[in-house]
Amino acid sequence: MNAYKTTIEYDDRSVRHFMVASITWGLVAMLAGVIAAFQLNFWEMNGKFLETVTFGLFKSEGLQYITFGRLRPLHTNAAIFAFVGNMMFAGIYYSTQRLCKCRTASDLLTKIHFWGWQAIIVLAAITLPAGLTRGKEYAELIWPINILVAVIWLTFAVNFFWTLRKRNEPSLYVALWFYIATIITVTMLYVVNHLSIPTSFTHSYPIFGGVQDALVQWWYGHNAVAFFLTTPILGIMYYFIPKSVNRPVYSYRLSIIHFWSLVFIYIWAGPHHLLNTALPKWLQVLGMFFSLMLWAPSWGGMLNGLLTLRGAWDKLRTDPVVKFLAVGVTFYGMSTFEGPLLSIRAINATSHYTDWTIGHVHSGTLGWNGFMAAGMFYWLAPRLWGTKLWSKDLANVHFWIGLVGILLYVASMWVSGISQTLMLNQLDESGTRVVNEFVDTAMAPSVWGMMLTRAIGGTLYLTGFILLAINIFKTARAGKPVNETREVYVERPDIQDRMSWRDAFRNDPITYTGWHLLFVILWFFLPPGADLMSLLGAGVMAFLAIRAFRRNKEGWVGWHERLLHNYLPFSVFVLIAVAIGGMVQIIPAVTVNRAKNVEDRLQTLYTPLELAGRDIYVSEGCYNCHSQMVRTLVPEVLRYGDYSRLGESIYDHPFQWGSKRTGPDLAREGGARSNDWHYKHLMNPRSLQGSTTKSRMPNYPWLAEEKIDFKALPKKIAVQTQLGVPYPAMTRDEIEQDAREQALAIAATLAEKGVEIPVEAGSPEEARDYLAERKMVALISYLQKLGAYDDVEPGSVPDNRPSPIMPDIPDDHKEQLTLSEAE
Amino acid sequence: MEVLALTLFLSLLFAVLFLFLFVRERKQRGPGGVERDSLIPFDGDDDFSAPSGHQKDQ
Ligand code: HEC
Repeated sequence: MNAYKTTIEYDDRSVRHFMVASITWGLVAMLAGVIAAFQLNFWEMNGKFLETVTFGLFKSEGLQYITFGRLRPLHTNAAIFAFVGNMMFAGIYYSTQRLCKCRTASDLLTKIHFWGWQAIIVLAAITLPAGLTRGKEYAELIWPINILVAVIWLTFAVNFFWTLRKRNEPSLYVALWFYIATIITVTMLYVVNHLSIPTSFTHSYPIFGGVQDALVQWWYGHNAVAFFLTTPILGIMYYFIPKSVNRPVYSYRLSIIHFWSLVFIYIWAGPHHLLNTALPKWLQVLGMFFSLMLWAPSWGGMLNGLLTLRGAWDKLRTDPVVKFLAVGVTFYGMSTFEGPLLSIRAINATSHYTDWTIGHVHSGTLGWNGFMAAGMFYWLAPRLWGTKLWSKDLANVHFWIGLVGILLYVASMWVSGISQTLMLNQLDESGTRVVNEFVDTAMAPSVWGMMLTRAIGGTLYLTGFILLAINIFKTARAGKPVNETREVYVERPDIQDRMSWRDAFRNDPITYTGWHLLFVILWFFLPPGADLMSLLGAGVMAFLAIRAFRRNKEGWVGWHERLLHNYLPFSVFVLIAVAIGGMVQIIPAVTVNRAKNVEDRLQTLYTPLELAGRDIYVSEGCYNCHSQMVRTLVPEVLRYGDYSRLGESIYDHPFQWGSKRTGPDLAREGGARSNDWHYKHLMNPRSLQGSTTKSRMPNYPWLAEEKIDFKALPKKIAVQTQLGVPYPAMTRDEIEQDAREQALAIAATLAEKGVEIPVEAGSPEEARDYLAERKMVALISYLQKLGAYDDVEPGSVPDNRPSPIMPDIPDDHKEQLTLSEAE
Repeated sequence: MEVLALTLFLSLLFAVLFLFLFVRERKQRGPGGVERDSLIPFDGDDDFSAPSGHQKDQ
């Protein structure tokens, strides 16, 4: 062991960069959110309103680039990856250097990381409004940008692990564990959910389709919340809260439990986004079960954070930093309480597809992420610029405006979500018919008014953040950039990074945990009888483990302590912990024969033109307002028709089940309306007779001008075939020919009805020929195809459960529905 | 609806288990080896209430 003293200059420049980037993009993200929110009350907020405001001087049909379907992905991506992303990098770079007592390993990698990440954000801000998207929520960016993200993320990972390797502190502090988990898991999730085959430089189809795509997407989507918006922020909590109150964390032992249980359990909970669909029941129950288990570790973490303030509660009144952090952690507790609640199937039946979910997400992002960010920034700024915070009062004003903003937001979304479901589910006396039109429920004061309240809440929150930006800017101006230098006492004890793999893996804790988990997993998969045996086995293992632990406490604790001195074995265990949950869910669902998921219906293939129309639907982001999934719930079936079989979307790359309904479900839209109805509706939903006059759906006039890209179709069909969609053999010409003929036929029906077109047409034939080239026609062909399926012999298709998966829990909902149909 | 009852039952079990462990944890606190690690963020802060190298805040 050799020890010496050395002076280190920390790289605080990069921390400043990330922080300023986070604040800047945060303002952009929130502004996009506020505009999007107002659009749901006043659809003209896409630019059309300029016409009214300027008394017609400024002619505007609205900007296609900021219609809701394109703006919402920009908002979500900016909030998650640009605002929280840059914030977490600032926090990670600052704290990791201090906790490792060394400067970040490579300044060059840090620079590449910073500028690469900003380049990605700029590219996102260009492509998303342009309608270039993969059509999967929070995974919308097109494939070339995906590759860039992967490269930059790996740069960050290398830099981080390299720093760990160089560290001058043998023990890894709890914050670092959470950063490790973040890096490993996000890599895994991101890669799997972005696997796709390009059809052009800007377009690709995801390799998964239908139910498989749904599972992969929500496995990713849920864990983006877990491992991008939660674990890094928990790491930040474990560093910055103790620092801000000058007290060590309440219980280190609790943080160990918090960490391992959270990392292990979170990854399983994805299917709670697909409750009450035709998804196999076992998966739904799995998702629900693990979501409920999340209560314990989440609250353990929250209490650990809050109790760190013990003896320093007075600071809660005086120090804005502590205020923000304490309330941020409290919102972590609130939203992780609400989350499991929403995962209970019966509650989810009410909450899903409504504003309630939106409120839930925002209590997490605005309350937990946003307030933690603010607390951290207010703490960092004086230290990074060597001065004091410009105005404590302003920070206090920010706090109160922000808090009122969040509360308005969350409360109004509860009211709006619940009351809309109640109205939608209202049946007449006979109990066989829904009484309220979809639009009428959306326009009811308890929904429309609440949505307006939400928009106001969001505006308040944004205002608060503007105050933060001013305050930090003024602080920076008052001081000058300082990089902290510090003398540290370096010792490289023999215990650091010396653990043998044998020592890491061959020991009681791992052996018992391994066997226990194996039995639990077998319990899910084995047929009846055997499954109970496994459950019993799991119980016995737990018992033996507790006994072994009591006998040899020192050994168990000592092993974990050794693990904390060895970053590589530690990281490998994190990987294993997250991979188990991932595999149990994903592998059966992804590898299982598709035919097994079909039930009694099989989707009819899209014609080339319909496929083109579908790509337009995806590109316009219609999925941000419309679902395509009739759940196995009675009122839903009464409103929209039969529940959606998994087989009905099996060839959909990407799936379009959606996650919220600002408009009605479209799964059974095909044939419900005439072509010219759709045309007029898309041109201006408010121009039609009936309830749509109150619609909040935007106008899509440009679809009647822009041309269909017929030439791209052969390649698209080829890729679909590669993905397993059973298209018959067709030549390039046949594909194009087929598409043009179908377009002409639809255009003819439109011309016959004399729909208005953007150009002067001398005759109906001229109008027809004009329309036959336009995106509108392709989109209509797709809408008319929605819900088309072929009946398949129930006997010829194996049952829908990915076998041999047990235990089989009877699905009452489905049985009831099939019965009532038969009557 | 049994699903709901089962869920509530299980989650209550978890809550109780958690409370139990939490209370035990509180009782057993001592200057253990693990807890020492929680001081890492303050290592080298010669003045615990005003980290060295930083300008004084506020
Ligand atoms: C801002 C949210 C929003 C977006 C984005 C949106 N819609 Fe709508 N949509 C609605 C609402 C609300 C309704 C119900 C009122 C109405 O019929 O206009 C609706 C109704 C519809 C209907 C009529 C359903 C029926 O039979 O009653 C169709 C079809 C439709 N939308 C298609 C689309 C397509 C295609 C896109 C994308 C190009 C799209 N929507 C984008 C909100 C939206």
